[in-house]
Amino acid sequence: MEETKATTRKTKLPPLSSDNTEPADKPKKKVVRKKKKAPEEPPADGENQPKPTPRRKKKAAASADSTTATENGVGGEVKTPKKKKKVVKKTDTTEVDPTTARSATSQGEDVDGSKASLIKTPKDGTPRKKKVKKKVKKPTDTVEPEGAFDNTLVAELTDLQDDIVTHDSKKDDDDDEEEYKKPYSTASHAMKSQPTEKFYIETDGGFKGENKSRFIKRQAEVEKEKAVVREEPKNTTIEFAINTQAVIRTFSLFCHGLLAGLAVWHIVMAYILLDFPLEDFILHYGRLALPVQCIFFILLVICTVSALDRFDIANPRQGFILKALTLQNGTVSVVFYFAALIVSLANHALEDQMHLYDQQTRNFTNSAEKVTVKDSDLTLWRNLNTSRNILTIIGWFIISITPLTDRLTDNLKQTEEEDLLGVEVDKPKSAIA
Amino acid sequence: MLVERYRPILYLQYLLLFVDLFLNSFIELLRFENVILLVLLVIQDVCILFAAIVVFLLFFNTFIFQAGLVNILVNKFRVTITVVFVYFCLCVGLHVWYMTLRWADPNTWIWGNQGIRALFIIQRTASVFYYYFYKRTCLKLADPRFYQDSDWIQKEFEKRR
Repeated sequence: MEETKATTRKTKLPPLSSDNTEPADKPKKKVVRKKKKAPEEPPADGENQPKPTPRRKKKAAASADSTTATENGVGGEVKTPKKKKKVVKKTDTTEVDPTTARSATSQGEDVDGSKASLIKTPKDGTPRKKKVKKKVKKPTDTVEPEGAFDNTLVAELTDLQDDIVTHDSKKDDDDDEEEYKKPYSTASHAMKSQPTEKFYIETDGGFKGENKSRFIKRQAEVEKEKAVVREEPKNTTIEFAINTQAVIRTFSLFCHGLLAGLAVWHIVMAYILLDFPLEDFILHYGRLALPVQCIFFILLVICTVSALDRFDIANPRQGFILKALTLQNGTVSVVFYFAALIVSLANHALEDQMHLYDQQTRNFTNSAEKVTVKDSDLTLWRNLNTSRNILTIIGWFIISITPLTDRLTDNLKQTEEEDLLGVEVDKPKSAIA
Repeated sequence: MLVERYRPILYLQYLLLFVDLFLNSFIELLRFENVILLVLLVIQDVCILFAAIVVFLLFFNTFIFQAGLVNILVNKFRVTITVVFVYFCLCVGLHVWYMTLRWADPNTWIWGNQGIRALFIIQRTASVFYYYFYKRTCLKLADPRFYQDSDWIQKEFEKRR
């Protein structure tokens, strides 16, 4: 088969120079042949001369259309090995294959289709083609300028036709797949492109390199976030109430910490100042007595209310009381805070006494009654103060074990499930604004 | 009930609670004149009254109340109503005693009497309960189901007609 091909080659188109240029020349020659009615080529030897010229013309004409030229130039080169294959196997078939149209024409097979008018249909083989060429030879000179335009047109049309890959059932499957997959393979077989770890995303400035695995991870996270955050914040009254409760809870958490810090400081300061005699102590602590008392009171109240909110005392649910009594959920912090509050209030009278005594010694007051502070009072004050501060610290410690418990908010949020007013309530029918 | 109408009500309730807390804690530092003390204590009592009025107005706004089923609502919030009234009584009592003791001279030591000490401690402790239950009631009354019709309410209404 190869011999026949070689012979056909020899008979129709003698090689121009060396064997290397043969494949390059061949398709072009064939293209040229297809395009021109006239062209053309002298049967054997004379073909060399007009071939270069039509090729050049074709190139010049197709210079504007670079794609076709490159396609022809490149595709042609790659095609030939395949075409060689096709030619090898297809010698017996007479079916139309546009990809092999060139070879078909060269071999003298029947060629149908739109190019029938452009392509001479040789029936017998090469000798006819020779004849055709001879006939066509005369008008080549006159038709050449027009033919140049036709060349490009024909070239484009043949390229279009070449893009169509028809399935030939008689061929082997391997060949078919190869053709389907790589009709115009421009990749060099020496080195294929390897996938790298980076890929580039287009941004406004240019291209930004991105690591594949990291990008995949980030995409997964974004998808997760999208899947999770779907609920819209409902604009109902209960939502508003829960939001205000959240604000209060944040503030009260701050107050918890502040109160615990103040308590620690107060213990230390009180013990240091109590090393001094009574007069000195009152002199130093007198001005602090009442303000500190007031601040302790307000912080203790806020913290106690917050502790009550966290363990929603007014809403005992299943097992809550049992858990509270067995110290499982931290409700005992309420007890500690209440105890601290009561002790602080008990200390109020003594602090007031100290304040007035201080005012007296500084001669700020005009009151007739004289206030005295005894050592026993001071001892009592010290004990009460210490116990109040320690209770505060313990209460804060228990709160900080489970800082996220907020049963009030949980209970408020359960408005959908639980029944209203303790009785069965069907779903509401109409809303009264 | 629309959020737009509920929002100022809740803010007002919070304001009343805050004024009461502020006065409770800092009244000892504001002993300038006896009349000033008097005014401040009266403001505190009025705040408690206003708070009670607002809560009752919220009750009246509920559909259950409008349907005539007063007992149910009162039964549900009986703890809050009780605490508010008890605290009001304690406040008034303490203030009266406090002012009689401090009217002559605001800067005297009045804590010799054990009774005033005890009442003082009890009133301040009750204030904690008052704040807690009142705030809880405010937030609970935000439930839109109170202001909507439902089959159960219809049934109850039919029962009591």
